[in-house]
Amino acid sequence: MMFEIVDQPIDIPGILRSVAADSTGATILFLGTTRQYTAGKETVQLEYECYYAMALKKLQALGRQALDKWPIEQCAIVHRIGLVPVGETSVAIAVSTPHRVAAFESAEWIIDTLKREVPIWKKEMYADGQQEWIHPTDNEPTH
Amino acid sequence: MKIRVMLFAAAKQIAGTPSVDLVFDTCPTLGQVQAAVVRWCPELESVVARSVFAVDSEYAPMDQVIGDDCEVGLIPPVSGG
Repeated sequence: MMFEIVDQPIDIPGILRSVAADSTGATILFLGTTRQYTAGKETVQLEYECYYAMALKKLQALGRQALDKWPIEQCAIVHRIGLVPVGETSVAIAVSTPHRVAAFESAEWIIDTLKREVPIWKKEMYADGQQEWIHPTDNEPTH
Repeated sequence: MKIRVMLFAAAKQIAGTPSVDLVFDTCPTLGQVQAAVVRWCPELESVVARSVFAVDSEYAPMDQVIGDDCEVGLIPPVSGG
């Protein structure tokens, strides 16, 4: 199991290696990447910050909870902080399971719950020079 | 007693500091800490109203009593991922 918060580009092949096991028949890799356009505004990069001790603890708890819910063989959750330019990966989640349904379901649950509960924040840095910390309200879409 | 409250994201930006030390006569509840944060920096009122608190890296209710060895964080709505 791999739970990390890093300030460098995420080692995606390393994450896939970490969830490899002969007992698995399905591996899901989810990558969250910096999107160029949101609601018509152009983003140059995102800046992430976290409450490190709590965020790491919450990532570990997400892994434990997912293991309680699904027959997961291996799980990795890695979040990058600092500046993340358009096209680069800010979060990687990999899950390996004996059969595919549990892999799809658990990976979706992990990213949805991470976005609701883990103390990490993003600042949009727009092409027009504006910057804005993102603090979603309940009625804003988070997909 | 002194309580250090860690600030993040918009709260840190508005306050211009990553933490604030607040002084209380007795162990405060998080509700009292919340009120003291806004008294210290009134510009934080709207973000504080949308935030929750964490104590020792766990989300905590507003009636929780804080001791001087507690690590307290003000947690605005999160936006990781």
